[in-house]
Amino acid sequence: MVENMPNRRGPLELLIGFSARNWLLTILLTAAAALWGYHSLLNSPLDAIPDLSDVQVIIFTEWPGRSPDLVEDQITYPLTTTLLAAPKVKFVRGQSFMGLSFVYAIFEDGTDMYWARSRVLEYLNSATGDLPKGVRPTLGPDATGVGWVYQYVLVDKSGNQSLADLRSLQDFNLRYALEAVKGVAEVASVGGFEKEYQINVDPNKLASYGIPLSKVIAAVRASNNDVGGRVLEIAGHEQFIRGRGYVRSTEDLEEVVLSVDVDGIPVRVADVASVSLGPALQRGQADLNGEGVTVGGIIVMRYGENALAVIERVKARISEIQPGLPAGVEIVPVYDRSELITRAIDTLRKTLWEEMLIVALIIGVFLLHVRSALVAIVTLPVAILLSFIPMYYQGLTANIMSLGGIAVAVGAMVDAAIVIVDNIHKRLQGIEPDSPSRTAVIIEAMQEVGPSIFFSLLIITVSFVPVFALEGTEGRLFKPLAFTKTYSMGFAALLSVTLVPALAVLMIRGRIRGDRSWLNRRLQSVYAPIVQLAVRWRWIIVALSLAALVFSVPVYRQLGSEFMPPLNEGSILYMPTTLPGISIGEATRVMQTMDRELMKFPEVERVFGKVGRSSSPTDPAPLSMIEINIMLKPRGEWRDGLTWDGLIAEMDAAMQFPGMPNIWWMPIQTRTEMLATGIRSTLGIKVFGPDLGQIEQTAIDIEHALLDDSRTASYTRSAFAERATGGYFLDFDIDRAAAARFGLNVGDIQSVIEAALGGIVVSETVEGRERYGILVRYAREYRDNIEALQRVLIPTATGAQIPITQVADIRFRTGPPMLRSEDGQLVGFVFVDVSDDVGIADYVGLAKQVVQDKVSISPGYRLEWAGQFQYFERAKARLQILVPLTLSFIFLMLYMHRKSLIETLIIMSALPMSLVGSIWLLALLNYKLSVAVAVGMIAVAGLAVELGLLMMLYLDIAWRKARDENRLNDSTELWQAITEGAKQRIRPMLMTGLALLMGLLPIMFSDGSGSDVMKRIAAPMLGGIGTSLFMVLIAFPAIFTIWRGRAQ
Amino acid sequence: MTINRKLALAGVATVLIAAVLWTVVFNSNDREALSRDESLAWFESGAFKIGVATVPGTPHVGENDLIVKVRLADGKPASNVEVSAYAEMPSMGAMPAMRAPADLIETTSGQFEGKLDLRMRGAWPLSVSVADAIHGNAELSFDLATDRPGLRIVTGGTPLGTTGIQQGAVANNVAESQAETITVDSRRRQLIGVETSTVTYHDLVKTVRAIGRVTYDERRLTKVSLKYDAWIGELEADYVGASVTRGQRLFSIYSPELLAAQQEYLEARKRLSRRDPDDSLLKASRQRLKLWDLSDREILALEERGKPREYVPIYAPTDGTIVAKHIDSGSAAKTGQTLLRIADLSQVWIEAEIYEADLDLIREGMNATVSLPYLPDRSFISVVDYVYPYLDKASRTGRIRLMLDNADGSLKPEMYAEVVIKAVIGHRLAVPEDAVLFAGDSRVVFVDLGEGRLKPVRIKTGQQAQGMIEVTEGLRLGDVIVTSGNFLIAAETKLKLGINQW
Repeated sequence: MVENMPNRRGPLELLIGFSARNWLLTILLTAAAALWGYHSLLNSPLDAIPDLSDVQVIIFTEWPGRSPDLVEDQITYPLTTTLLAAPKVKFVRGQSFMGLSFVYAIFEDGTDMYWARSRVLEYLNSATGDLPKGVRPTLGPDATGVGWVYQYVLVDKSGNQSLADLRSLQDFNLRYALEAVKGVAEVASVGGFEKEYQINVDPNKLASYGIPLSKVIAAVRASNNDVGGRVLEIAGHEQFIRGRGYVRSTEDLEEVVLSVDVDGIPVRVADVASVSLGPALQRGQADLNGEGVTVGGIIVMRYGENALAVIERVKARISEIQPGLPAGVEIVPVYDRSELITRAIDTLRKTLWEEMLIVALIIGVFLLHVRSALVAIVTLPVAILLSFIPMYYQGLTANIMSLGGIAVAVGAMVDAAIVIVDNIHKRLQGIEPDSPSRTAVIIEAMQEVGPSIFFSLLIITVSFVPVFALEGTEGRLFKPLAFTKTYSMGFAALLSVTLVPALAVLMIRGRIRGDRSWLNRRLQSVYAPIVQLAVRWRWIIVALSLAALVFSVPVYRQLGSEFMPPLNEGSILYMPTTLPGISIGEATRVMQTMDRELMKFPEVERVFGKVGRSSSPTDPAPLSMIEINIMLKPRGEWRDGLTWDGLIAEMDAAMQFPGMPNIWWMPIQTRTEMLATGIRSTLGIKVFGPDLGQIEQTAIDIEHALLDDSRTASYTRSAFAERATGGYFLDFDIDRAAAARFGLNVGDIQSVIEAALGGIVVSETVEGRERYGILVRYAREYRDNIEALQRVLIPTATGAQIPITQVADIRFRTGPPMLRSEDGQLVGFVFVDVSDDVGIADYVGLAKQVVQDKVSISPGYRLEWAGQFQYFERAKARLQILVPLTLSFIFLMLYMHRKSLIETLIIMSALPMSLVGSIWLLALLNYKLSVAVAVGMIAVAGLAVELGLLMMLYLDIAWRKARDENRLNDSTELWQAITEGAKQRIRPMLMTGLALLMGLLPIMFSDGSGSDVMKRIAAPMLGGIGTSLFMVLIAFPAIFTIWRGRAQ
Repeated sequence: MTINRKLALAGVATVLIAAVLWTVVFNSNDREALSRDESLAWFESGAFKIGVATVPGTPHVGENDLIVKVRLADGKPASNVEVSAYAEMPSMGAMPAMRAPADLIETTSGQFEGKLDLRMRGAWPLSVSVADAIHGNAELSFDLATDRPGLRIVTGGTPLGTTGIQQGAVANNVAESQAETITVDSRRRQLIGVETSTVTYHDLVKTVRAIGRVTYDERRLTKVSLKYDAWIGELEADYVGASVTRGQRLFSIYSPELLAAQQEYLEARKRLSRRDPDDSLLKASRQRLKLWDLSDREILALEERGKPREYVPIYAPTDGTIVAKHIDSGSAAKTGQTLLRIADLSQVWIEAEIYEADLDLIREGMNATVSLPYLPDRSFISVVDYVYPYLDKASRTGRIRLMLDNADGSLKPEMYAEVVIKAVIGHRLAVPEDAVLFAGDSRVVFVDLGEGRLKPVRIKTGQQAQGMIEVTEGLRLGDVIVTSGNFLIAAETKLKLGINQW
């Protein structure tokens, strides 16, 4: 079977030999590579977690004052339908709000962002024709909400700056200065008051002069322009000719002439309206510490940028700007992601150092030879440095996932070096330190185990392949981890056959005590009887193993499941949300009260509240949503014994605002969640169709059908159709017949509603760098109550002005405050929660039948079955193919290596055993099954195989030796040989096993940003390694004995 | 080998027992706490006493156990009741609502257990409903949130305390009325700035605004014209706007007819003076002069002078201002032609247009406030003098007339005027506009029942005026209603009571 293996010179043996003999070259080459890696490390972008957002392009359109359904029909729908046809578009989601349309074009994974954006632009070109006049869709920044890395507010201590001044400072000064910073996609403004010239028309005066509102609009529009008249040559000089006519003050606007009466007396704007500077319509407001409305800025980072570097550049720019600000104005940071990033990276860096230290300690203690230990230890940092090279060139950021990949690999990375050094020690026993054959012995020792260990490291690497197959969010989250783990394992494997031999030859000098140290002797004396027992009671051992396996099944079933454990970001985003329809005044008032309440907590440093949306297209927040960033003081200044969860619980108890359910989240988590506003229940039924009312009805029918029908009732934990109402509307129902009597068209009346009530920004002043809108609207008292609305005047063909109630009815209605569409069709959701008794696929099958029988779907309507189950199914489907495939590949590799089917099978038997440990540890820690846990389990598979392979190798070596020495005449001798072989190798086995095991411990004991996710990955590994170690150390000798005993 | 076999059996058995024990412990360490009644919070609702608890007591994200015990008023476990419960996280902005149902299973008689799968951190208001064919239904809602200990009753039940199962039954109707109320304690009220006021009668005053114009008082408008052809001689009132006093000389005229008439009179007098002063000819001739607007004084002067005047002065018939002048010195004037118009501006009219809908509210004699854009600091109090009995065809407005004194002449005809008339609609039960929620066709107010309880009440509304809305149905005198902060109260109500539509 494996007759002449140790003697054959394979390429690996040759490589080991070459490296050992040319140690200087090897070390120099490695050093050069390590330097390169160091350079990459310094330059790798840092981030907290991988950006989980899809490749998406936001098309943002404003159409001020229009209701959601109007925006949907006129803007969102034409845009989505056009974009659907664009190449590589996965789907197009639309959201229509009051006066705002958001269209999200989501592209296939891996599409280049800028390629996607130019495709969108192309298609927008053709869509613009279908849009209402004056409506211009704009492309959102090349960023997502997750890119909100830094937020600040402007604080004026002097009291000389009005909120409008601060906002102007933000909008026209700070914004451009900060947007110019490399990596910043957008600087959004929020809060304060945007200045606006407001022409508040008195309809009564207008009526008495007989001037229609449209004339005011036209007159103002025509009174704000600068023109050029080319040049005049005087005395050889060119004099540029200009016609100056930009509006520069409210007085200029007051002088605008509307008409001239019979006596030639001009009627000016001032005669029919008051002109003032006022705040523009707001859909968002900000507050700092509950002290009053303030102006804030949000730095939105470009997609794929180095967050930490961007924040640092922004901070540098801010400190440059600061001295130039008006006296008393200060820029105060209210959210700074760099703190999280450094904290998360620090946590991992600390964990990595601890791991390396522990591993080094283990090696040192076991080898009791500093220089030899160094050989093994040196490979660790070198392999880590090297793995940054591909990371850097691949554009992977150093975040908790990618560094976590290294962290979970540390234990395994030194395995090769350990085994090699151990074998050298073994062989060097009894050879004099200055013996000339020493180098040859060392090389031979390395060649003996080198290929096997290289191979096992390779298997560890390969076993992680299924993780690469993950798609979507889970893929984006775990691929960086898979990459770095693979890189570091790969490099460790490579180093074990290059650097380790070179160093070994160079460093392993002096007297080698070998495995006769005190510790080793004690270990052997403890282990030997155990192996003896195991070999004797080999069947029991096998039975026990099987029993453990069987009993793990119910435990496994007990485990709950979750998608992803939360990442503690260290800062709180408090997001109370009320029902739609709240006014900005009320919302601002409530937000300020909340801020004040939060400031009462001694742990709170600063709170920054934002209600509604900022100017960024990445922010679709409605007014009903308040987001409060809570900056906490350092942990040391907290009240004694107060934990993170305790603080949140206290805050939650204090913040019981009626009608405002609380959510305590963290900024990145929130932004990520808000990006993916698909269906989050396990199963969702999307009802598509043209009419919202009908969609709602169908959805409710489905809800009832699923709950009532006997086929699905018992399996349906809940079914719930989303109700679309909740917005309040005041409708002018135009009576066409009545309008006709006055010679009015619907449009005539509507344009008055639009201009008089809504107001029209007719022009924009140009004042140096600053631009402000000029709004024409009825004065407040003529439109701020229902009585006044009834008296909106409509100019008729005869010149008379009639109140609108003569041609329209005022009605109050409720309706959707927001419309959702997908792929151009309106959509309504039915959320279904399915009981665990039935497979989701079976349930969908049943439910489909029920819906078909019970619910009549009108023509033009269709259903789609979606939900998180799709992701689960998708991940499951992927893994179901790939895990067995990988396992069979490992099997094949093992077989190729060992050339023995039975040996391969025995080695592979460590796999199920590792699962046992994983499952029980998870159950003990009360962790749920998640993708993270699955990744950990996949990782442990490779490690288990590695341990198995090693043990097999050692047992085989012992057996072979015994056979060669002809000591295998009866079963007792066989037992003896096997026991002896196992005993001899307890040191490397324990060393590798403990390195793996203890290497993971710092993760389990770490506490800080990002540790939760890492713990979920490390826990199954820890448990798995524990049981596999038991398996290989105790059960393997037993199984080996059974096998070899049979063979005899 | 027998020892081996025994040992093997023992080993397998140990593992088996350990595993079984472990699984049992795993399953039951949570359950243990539940068997004790005191960890449940008990509520009285309808005919039931209902105990509810979550395990753990502080719900966390993920699966939590929910225990519901239902007992009848006498304390016996209720059998054959249907119990269901769900927690629902309300929708947030663009995120839809999420519902977590508890699959309640009856474990022992009257005890129901299930799992609540709370998938997100935050508030998950919990609804528990108990249905029974004999004893009726009960519906309770609770405030439930992850990482916050305990359940708080919001509606539908009276807390009995953990040991209060022995307490006496509360009347059914109380429980029922509670089913429609929410409780907001005073601290939470303060947080959102709830203010209340008492419903009472108000004089509802509707403000009618109208645009008007200052016009001449038609009754004080005088024309100066001649009853004979003439030529203007000296024009003394020689510009428009000149103010004149009664009897002031306006201009003189030369009229051949008048001259002839004067001569005729003088001659008649000469001939007849001694004979008969009452001679008819003389009389007729004097009458003619008088009819041609010569005053007795002028005739006397004529008699004394004895010869006719060529240029006869014409005097102002009234005080006033010349508002129109159609003559210049030397121009000819035809019989009947208006030569001058004199308006008395000491009193002016305001004519205002009232829209059809408001016309009904306007009565003659009502007070009105007039303000003029040109005189922003002043306003004039006036009375509705007259309501014209017809509408303007084109503008669909009716006209009213007001009278204003204008001693200082600041009101100038053709000025624009804004007229505000406060029409008293009546003494009506009314609430502030801010207290009323307009939701489609429904109008809702929140009545404060005391002890922090608030109840949404549908009302019918009548007239609106001056920020007050008349209530025709749904409220009584003395009811206390919420006048401020009612958006959040409404939201709370909708979230907690599950009222989807108003």
